[in-house]
Amino acid sequence: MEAFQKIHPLEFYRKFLERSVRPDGRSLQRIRNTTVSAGSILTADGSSFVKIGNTSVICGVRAEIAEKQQDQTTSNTCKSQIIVNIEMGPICSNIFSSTKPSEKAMSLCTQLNQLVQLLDIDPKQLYFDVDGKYLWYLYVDLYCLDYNGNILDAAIIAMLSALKNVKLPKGVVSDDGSEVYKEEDTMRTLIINSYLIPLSFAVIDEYVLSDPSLEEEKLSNGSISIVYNEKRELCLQLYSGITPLDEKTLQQCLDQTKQRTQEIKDLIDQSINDSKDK
Amino acid sequence: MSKLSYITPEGLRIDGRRNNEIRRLNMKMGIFNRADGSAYYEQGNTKITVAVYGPREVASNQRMLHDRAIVNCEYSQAAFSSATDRKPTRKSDKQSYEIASLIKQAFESTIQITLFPRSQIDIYVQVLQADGGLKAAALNAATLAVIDAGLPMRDFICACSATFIEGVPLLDMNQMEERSGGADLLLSIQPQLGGVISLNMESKVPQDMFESVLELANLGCMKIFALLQTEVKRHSADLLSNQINPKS
Repeated sequence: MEAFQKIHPLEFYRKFLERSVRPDGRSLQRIRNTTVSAGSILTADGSSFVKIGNTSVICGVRAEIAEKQQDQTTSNTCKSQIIVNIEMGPICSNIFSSTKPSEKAMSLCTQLNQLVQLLDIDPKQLYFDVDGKYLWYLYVDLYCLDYNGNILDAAIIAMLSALKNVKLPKGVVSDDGSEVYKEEDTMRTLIINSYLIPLSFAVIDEYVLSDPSLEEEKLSNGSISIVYNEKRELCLQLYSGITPLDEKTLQQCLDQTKQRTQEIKDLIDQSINDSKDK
Repeated sequence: MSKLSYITPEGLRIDGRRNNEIRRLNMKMGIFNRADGSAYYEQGNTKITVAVYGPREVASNQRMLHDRAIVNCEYSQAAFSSATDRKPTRKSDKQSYEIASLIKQAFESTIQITLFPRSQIDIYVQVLQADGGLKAAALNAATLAVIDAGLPMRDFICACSATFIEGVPLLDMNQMEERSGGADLLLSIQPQLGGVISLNMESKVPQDMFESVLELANLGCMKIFALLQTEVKRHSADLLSNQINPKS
């Protein structure tokens, strides 16, 4: 049986999919066990660790102070103040090399940077001092530690819970503006009211598999990624594949993502509450 | 501004330890399924994960050796790991290379690489949180991961740092003590064979005190060895008890 799996992996999968089950015992719609924990990195201003099955991502946020740039108009978004970077080094899987970032990591990075702009953050919260002459810049760094498929979901959940875990010290600027310092005693939490609810799918033949593992991603002839926010507005929808996708399948995927809303919200809220008790 | 005192009159250090105490160790082997061997290692506030792949085919034929395996090590520090400064995300800083080559050399002499000709062993070290003693912690963590990978080794590698501040030798410094400007001695040994793998020292120590600092570092290595051994035994016992009896 193992030999069959190695030589004809696709045929092996088909035999399972015909019976609506996957080799790891999951049904086609079943999502792997997801855990979120926040605040475990003490050196970061906010952090989280997310596991979906064996896929693990760790995320840390560092806040830095910089003077407000002149050309930055008084728009009511905090664009370009949150910078996301994801690293998928050789530690997470032997398919990645250490010398140059993989295409996968680069495209993920762009998607995450776009998604972070959709979060509802009051720009005043990122003011260092009262009038916003100095601003906080948040550097969000994600590291994939173990890669077993569906990295996008793990990365989005990690990014969101790390940002919700961010605590910023109160900033003081001396009267002549020459000195800036932080008051570490009075910390405030960054308040983000929105959520992002991601779910990815792999398409193998006519079957649609939720939360694909690495092997399923490799065998698939198409992949779908959907991200909703808590108001059930669509934030990201990606389909890439060689076969056209019919509307009914897509609708099913959209519905399934919506169903995950409460679960993700609970997971993130729970982790943030747990980190407060520490 | 008054000078920071590293040792109170009662002989306690900044974090409340005595001079000959190491920080609390916490470790776990076999954390990743994808890698051949992996380990998580925590020494005080320093947190490290290590993954080991191999022995496997050599990536480039030019580097292949016909009588033994090559050991390759990469060390990287997460951007958020350090409390003081944000590290640039590029990997090619000199400190990382130095630590990587230290680990590479240590394991080249300890793993029985002659058993795996024409192959390659990769050790990837990722620091998640840094609070001093990184080199020593990276070596200890890598030992656990290599053991988890099932590679034959002559012995463990145990490493510990020691310093000499305000006339007192101190074991296993944290970041603040590391920045004191005192000597930084790193000793890594093979505890059972009794060999020294590496001994590095930066800055000066009076000659008559050097012996006592070295002695202290050795003591630290032996303490760490005892703890590593406990974890290896515990992990192996776990593996055995989880094994499904093939005969039934």
